[in-house]
Amino acid sequence: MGINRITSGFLNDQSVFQLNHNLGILSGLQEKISSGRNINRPSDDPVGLTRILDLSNTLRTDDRYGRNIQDAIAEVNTTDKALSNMVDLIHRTQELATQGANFTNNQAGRDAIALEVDQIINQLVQLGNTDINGKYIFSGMKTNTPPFSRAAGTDNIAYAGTPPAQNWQREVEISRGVQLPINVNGDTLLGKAQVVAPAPLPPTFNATSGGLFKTLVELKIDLEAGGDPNQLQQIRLRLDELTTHMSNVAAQQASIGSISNRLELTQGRIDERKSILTKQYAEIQDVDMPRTIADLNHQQNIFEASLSVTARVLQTSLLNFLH
Amino acid sequence: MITPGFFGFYNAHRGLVATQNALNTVSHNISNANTEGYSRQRVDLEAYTPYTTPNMSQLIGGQLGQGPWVQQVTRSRDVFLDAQFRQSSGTLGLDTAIRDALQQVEGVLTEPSVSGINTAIQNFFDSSQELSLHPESMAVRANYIQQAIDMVNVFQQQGLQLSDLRRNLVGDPAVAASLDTSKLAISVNDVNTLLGNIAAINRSIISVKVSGAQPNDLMDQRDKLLDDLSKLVDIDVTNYDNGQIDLTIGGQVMIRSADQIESLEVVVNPNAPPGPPIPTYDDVPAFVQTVNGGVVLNNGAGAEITAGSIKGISDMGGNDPNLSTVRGVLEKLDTLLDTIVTQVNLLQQAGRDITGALGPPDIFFNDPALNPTETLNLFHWRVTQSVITDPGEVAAAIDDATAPGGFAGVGDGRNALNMAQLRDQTFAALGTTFVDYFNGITSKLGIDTRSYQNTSSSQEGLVQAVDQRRQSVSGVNVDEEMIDMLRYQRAFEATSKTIQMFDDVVKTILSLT
Repeated sequence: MGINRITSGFLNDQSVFQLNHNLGILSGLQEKISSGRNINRPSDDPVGLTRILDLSNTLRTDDRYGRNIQDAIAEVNTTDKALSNMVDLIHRTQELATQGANFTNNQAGRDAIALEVDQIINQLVQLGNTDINGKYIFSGMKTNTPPFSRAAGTDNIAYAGTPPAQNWQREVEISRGVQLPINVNGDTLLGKAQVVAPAPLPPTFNATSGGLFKTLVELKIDLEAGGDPNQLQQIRLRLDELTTHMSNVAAQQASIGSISNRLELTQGRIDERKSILTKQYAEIQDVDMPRTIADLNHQQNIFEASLSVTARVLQTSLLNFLH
Repeated sequence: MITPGFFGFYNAHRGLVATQNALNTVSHNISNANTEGYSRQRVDLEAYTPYTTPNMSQLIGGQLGQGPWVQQVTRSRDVFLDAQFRQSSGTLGLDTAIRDALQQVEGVLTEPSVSGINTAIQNFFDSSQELSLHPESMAVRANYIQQAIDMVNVFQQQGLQLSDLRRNLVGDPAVAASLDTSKLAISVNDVNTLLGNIAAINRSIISVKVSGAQPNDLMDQRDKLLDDLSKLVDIDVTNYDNGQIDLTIGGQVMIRSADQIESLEVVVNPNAPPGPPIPTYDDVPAFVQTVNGGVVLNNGAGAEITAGSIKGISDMGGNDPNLSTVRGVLEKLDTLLDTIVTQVNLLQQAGRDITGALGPPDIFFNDPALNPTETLNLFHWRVTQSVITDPGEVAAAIDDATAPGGFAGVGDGRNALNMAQLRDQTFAALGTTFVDYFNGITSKLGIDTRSYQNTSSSQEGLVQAVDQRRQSVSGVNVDEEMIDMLRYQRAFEATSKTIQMFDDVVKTILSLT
């Protein structure tokens, strides 16, 4: 630029312009370092911004899925525990039934066994009413209602949850568009029993009765009925039924186990992705401290140099040499 | 050849007067070294008409010099650089006005952040997921409603700030006072004041010129006013020999033959009626027009202001769909919130609440009494009071034809899950998902702001460069003035010496008697 005359005003303007410019760069670096973020407003880096918005959306959504999975795992684990306990109880019942079927036992012994079966029924009702923070897990969609109840002093066990006939599964979204059912229907699992007439033997049940509870109630009545060989035959039949119920519960447990596996697998994938995405996010948004601080030092040197040059140039004047 | 005895005294006297004038000018220059718009002045010295001595033998005799005189005092100025400066400073005014407004919009949206609209939308849909897991929990339902309230609040807070920002820029017919206090109105006032002052100086300059003198300082003042004016609007200046100027703004003559014949005013756009029906992009709230001719200068038709901060302000307060104008961003936020609440309400209407009742009240309802001065729906959405009072009314369950009474149970969170999954769906009104749409607004804003930051900073460099060239012609260099001062000081001393010499000569002659 062919500037021939340099004037005092020119020098002033030039100095102020340059000092402002340098100070602007310094304050930009200072903002980066103190906030720790490269992008503090959209205009800082519009392209990078689009990228970090996308990344943070995915991270947010994954985070949500992660929490869904944690929630589901808690329920599935509780279900698994309850199912294990049920399996133990069925085992115990099988032992008791085998003892009861043994001809050498007297009626007093069989009554004691019947008493224990009665207790097992109560325990199963209790297990069927397992809840997490007041949410009944075997009720289907009626999570506020305890599914099983035994009318006092009777052998009637009712089921109040949603019926198994419908596909009313409580589902959890574990990744975009993928939903997983997490509950086991109480009715399918334990059934229900309503005795219409305990005698004459065998007892008659209403039409909806069935499942483990029906078998247990029948076993109990059979045991109480005494040593009639015919009855002992009935007890053996109950033993066969118990084996069927056992495999039913075990199958549910296996299915819950596979759901649990899938949940943990997905969780693992989410965690893995999270660490990759977080790294990408950090590469764009997090300030490279050593480099930025080096930049800051460099810029500070420039600024100080420009200050000192300004001070020197503005001081020189012919006036200093005229006396 | 005989010259009058005191001839030399008058010669020297002229020399003293001339150098004294030169010294005065030096002093004037030095004192104004820091005066903005001041041009260095120079004294043009010329030898005075010579004296022709009478001579017996020749008709035309020898000529004797009669010392100097100050022919005129001129200012160093380059009118072409002035024109160049004014043109670039108009563009700078435009760019910086747009940049400043864009930065303010950025400040309102506060993205990327953990408290902005983006986060509020995410939180809302997250709480919907949570609701799908625990529809029987009142606490989870209450949290869902709280997130809905928060989301609407964030939209409205930022919306109101944008609305205020636009009011500050160009005013709003719905708020009468804002039309006089807007940046646009204030800038138009400034233009009128400057025009008045320029016209007044114009007349003074002509009268000085008529008397044959050079009105240097007045012309500097006028140039300074023209510089100031060029930051506000694009001006075109025609210079005349008699010192007057004609001035046009956006092609409209404002000053002719030294007199101001027009001024500007801000008028309400008749096409932008306040209140419903909701105006669209056509509603530039106010126009700049000439008072006498009624020519609108920023409506894109005919005569047009194309530069200066007034153009920038009216652009950002206007309706340019290619720019992230305040109104444009506001309307996009409006579309976004409208789509969210409509979709959520649709699902809510089709679902069943915690008691199994079908079609409970909408979660969001449109209340025109909320922010009545605003016309956009954005400002009128609120969460229905009965749903706030009883979050059980949120329809987390679907209407299931296979269930007795259509209601599977309180543990049915399928509708809540549907609501949550709205987040991943693409909607025709937006062309994409909610969050993507919002991110699009932010990105566009970032790109626009960045681009105007760049152009305004390079334009600033350009203006600076032109100004430096101007400074190199017109600026005062104190050292230079000191040298001139020494020169004239010595000349003054030397001239004084000649007076002493003539005095001695006269004394010698007188002593002969």
